[in-house]
Amino acid sequence: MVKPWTPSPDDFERLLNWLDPTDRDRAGEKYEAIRQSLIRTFIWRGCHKPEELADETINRVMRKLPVIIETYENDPALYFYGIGRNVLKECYREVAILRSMNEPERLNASRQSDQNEQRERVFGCLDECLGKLTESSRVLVLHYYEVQGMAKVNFRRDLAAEMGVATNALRVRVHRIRTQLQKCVSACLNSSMTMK
Amino acid sequence: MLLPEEDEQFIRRYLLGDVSEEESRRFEERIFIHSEFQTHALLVEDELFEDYSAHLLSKDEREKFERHMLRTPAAREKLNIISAMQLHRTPALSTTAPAVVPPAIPYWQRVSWRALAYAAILLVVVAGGLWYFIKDREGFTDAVRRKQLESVIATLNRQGLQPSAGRQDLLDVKLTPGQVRGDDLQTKLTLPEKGITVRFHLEIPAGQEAQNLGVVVLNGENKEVFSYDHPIVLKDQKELVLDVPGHAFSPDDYVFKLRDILTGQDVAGGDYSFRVRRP
Repeated sequence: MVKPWTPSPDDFERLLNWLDPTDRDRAGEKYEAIRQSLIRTFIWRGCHKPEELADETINRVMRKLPVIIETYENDPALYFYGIGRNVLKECYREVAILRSMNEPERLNASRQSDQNEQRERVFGCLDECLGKLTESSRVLVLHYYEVQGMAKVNFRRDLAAEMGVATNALRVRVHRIRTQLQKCVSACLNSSMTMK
Repeated sequence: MLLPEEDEQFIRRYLLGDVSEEESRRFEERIFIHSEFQTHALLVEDELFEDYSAHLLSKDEREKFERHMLRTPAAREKLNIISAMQLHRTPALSTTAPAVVPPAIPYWQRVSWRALAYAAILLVVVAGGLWYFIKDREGFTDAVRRKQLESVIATLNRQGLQPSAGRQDLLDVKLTPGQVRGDDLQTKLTLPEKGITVRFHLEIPAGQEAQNLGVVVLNGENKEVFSYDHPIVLKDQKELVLDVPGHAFSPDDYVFKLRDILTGQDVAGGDYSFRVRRP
């Protein structure tokens, strides 16, 4: 049986050195940014375990690095992306297998029966997580989602103007608060599932 | 950062799986090299989820969204959360399957007297416990007071900067960073106990990104009086403005600290001290 390859501290050191030989902190930031880009790519391509696939990609890069480090001349981030595309093919095979295993009828039936209960749980967790935000973040995020439909564009533009920030800066702020909320709600849903 | 309209459209098409493999490759390479482009793609993704939840996508887009973006449990969970946030304030705009509504029964027919008795006992126990808690736990009352104050500050500042001309109840105070708390040279405010709002103008230290700055205020014992993440940014990003009710401050020395709301870290050189006294 082939033992899976695991990186050593030296492999990791070499990787950071490749990303930025002069500034260790900067190398760490680049590493984290690349990992996030890999995770986003796997999510947008519909892979089920994006974090695991990102780590697998990074391991493969570390393994190949001694061979390519002297000759590779492009942006290192693009090398990660190239290896990530190979991992992506494996993800597609896995997704195809998963799809063939799940009969659509059974999926639909379970969705219907679980939907109301799931929605109740989401509302409960959302309330709990909103309560954990600072007052200003809570007010902002609820205010932001207050108007929907076609009117929301003007409403959000006015809201940004009132706050003295650009519309895009407001979008980024709300995105960050919502991401924080999503993590909290997700953890809350998982814990409520475990307790059931 | 503002992206051209065609970039927004392209991101949208990518997310809906409406691009060729070659276009996907170009898009993905871009997110690896430009972090700002990735941030922008995340914002477009958020809006697609919102639009789907609010039934604003065309039939074709809706099908692509379901086929391409709702493939993973994580994506379905995100949709549930965004829908819940929209419903939190806009029940009339609910677009998900309506919940089954039971036939209306008058409330007096629904209430059991035994349940009512239990509820009354529970209410007495909870009220007693709460009274005991509030009475004996200074920390708890402080936390409640702080939450109320933050709520008032959020309300005062949410609507943007209100005109100050002719207002007797508004005191403009300009603070510059670097003054030492307790120093005789620090700014001194004479505030009545009630009836005044203080409009603080904080000069932003050079090199700081104004839009990411929040504030926290500490009293003489270094306890947090309140924090606020979204002060108004003025004068070409060089000044933060914040209205605070005067009653937030009892006579003491205070310091405003700037905080990076993205990292939660205090900003170096972002301290503004002042002293409050009564007339």
